[in-house]
Amino acid sequence: MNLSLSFALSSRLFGSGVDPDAQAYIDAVTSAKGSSPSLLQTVAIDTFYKSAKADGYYTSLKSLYLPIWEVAAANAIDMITLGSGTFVGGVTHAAGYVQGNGTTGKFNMATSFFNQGLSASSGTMFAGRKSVTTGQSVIGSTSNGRGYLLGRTGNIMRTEWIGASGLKETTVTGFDEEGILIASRLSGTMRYHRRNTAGVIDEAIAYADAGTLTNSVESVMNISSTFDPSHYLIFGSALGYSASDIAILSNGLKTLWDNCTTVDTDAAAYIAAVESALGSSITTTQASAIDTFYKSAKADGYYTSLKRLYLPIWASAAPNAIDMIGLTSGTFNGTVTHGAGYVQGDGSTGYFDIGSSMASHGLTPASGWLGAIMKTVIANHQYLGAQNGSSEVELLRHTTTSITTDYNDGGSGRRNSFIANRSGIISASRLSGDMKHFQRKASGRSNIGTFTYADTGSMTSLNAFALAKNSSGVATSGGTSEMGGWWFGTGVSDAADSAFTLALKNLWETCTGLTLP
Amino acid sequence: MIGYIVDETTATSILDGIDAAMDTRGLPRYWTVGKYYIHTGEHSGSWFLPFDDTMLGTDIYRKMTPMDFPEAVAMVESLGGLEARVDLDPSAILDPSVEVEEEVVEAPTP
Repeated sequence: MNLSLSFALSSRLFGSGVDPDAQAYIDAVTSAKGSSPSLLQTVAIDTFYKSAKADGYYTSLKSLYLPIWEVAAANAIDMITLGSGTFVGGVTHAAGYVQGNGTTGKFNMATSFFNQGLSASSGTMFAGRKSVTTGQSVIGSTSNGRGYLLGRTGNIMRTEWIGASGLKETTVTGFDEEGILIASRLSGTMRYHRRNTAGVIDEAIAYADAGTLTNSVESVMNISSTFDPSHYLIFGSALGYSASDIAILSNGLKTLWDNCTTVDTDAAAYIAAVESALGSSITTTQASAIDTFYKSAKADGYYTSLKRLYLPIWASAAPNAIDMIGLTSGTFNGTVTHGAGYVQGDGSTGYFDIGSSMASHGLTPASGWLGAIMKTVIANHQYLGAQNGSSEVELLRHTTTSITTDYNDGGSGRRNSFIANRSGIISASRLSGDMKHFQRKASGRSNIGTFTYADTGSMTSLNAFALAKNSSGVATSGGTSEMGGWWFGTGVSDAADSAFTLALKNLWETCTGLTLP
Repeated sequence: MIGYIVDETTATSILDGIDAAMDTRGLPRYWTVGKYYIHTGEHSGSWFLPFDDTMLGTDIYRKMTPMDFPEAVAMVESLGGLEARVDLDPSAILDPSVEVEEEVVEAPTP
């Protein structure tokens, strides 16, 4: 993507609200990489600049490098000045970090701490590291009037900063070196800070200000003859910070790196597919909600159970037809209204052909999971599934009094959960001999029916339909209820269904601005 | 419901044309009008192609409706134009041999 397109994209995403420094950095990265950061990376970068300015630590930042782009020219860009440092020797530019080879690889920053305005009384050095080789140099220089940050074997951190007698060396113990490391000199104190998955630790050591920093280019991954082969995620320098500002800074740096590097790849692929089908960008709010949904689905363990999931909220057939799990496309047939946040059949010709059977995705008589977001509920409506005769049937529907499943029971037992209101997120999970019906509404979730029966019958090989039922190859028993989504998968536990339907509720409501009935 | 009454060959040809329009653009076959056998009434034995105004006004791809595609315009012309559409009773496409399931009616749980 070229710069003009990058600008157009950012402008469309954020309107006039994009931070100008974020835009400048995004443009610089786009130019250096030859392609723009992803939508979610763009959001993360913009959010970082805005947060740093709102939180008050931005003006003290003097350099900040985010070497996640796999391209040296992009990794060398200073987010504060847009100046470029220089990678020297053997450096690997990986997705999310850079890594020196331990013998020659390093990074020379664009300028010195001295030129950045750091002094004996005020200065900050920071770096985020993973896969750490302990006892290595982190950031700084070794000239006489120096400041640098070192790791030391045994979870010892050490700084040397200009002071009486030319330099002042201090050390702290118990600082494992993986995570965001910050050393900040202010108000006669050298404060050490580390943030990682184990939490945050701080320690402060007081000594008098003295001397002047030497004007020499600062390095990362190397000081003197010591080269560090650890993974470097983010690094930079700043004027001195208070303890509270250091905590805010370390959190901001972590959030920036996390959000730029841990974008869910399936979310990014779905967003790209939707945007291509729409011919325009979705909003940042929608993109973030989609990313959050995928991450939650994977973290909570039910993602692998989902086989097909549709979110037909985009008011257009092409994006509405995209499956969030496999990125395949089903086919809308007949008259279907594509509303904002839902689709609606006409009760006669309108239906959605998923394009494959539930059996082909691993559903069995013993294990299945069917569900839908029912925005409105009208009359009888057989809205998800297929039926071939009386014994091969996987079907979710409602009558005027019940939520009903027919799921491979040998034709011997339709399962009805009688409830007065049949809207909301309706789900049915067949697992461990039970068929459980659930309903999630704005007011909460409940198990509206549990039915125990033996596994009998067999799965139909017919394509599953939504908005209507596939009855021996013909769409029948459709309705005009408004549907905000549907899915099927292998059977899940009560807890997994609950976690999923809550995540789906949040996704649908955030993306549509609507509220679940 | 509004659309065209056609024979099976024509119905198949129209649907193949829609598929081809998507194939030539490198798109998945995400939309079609569908074809529906007419079981009862004066058009029994023919096929119904829905072409109502709701359908023709639907955003199917990048803010375009079906009639924004030249293939769709040509199809409508080949079927006699929009004025040649008829209003068919939806019950005509229901298969009378399929038994309508009686609804289980029970008072909602309090």
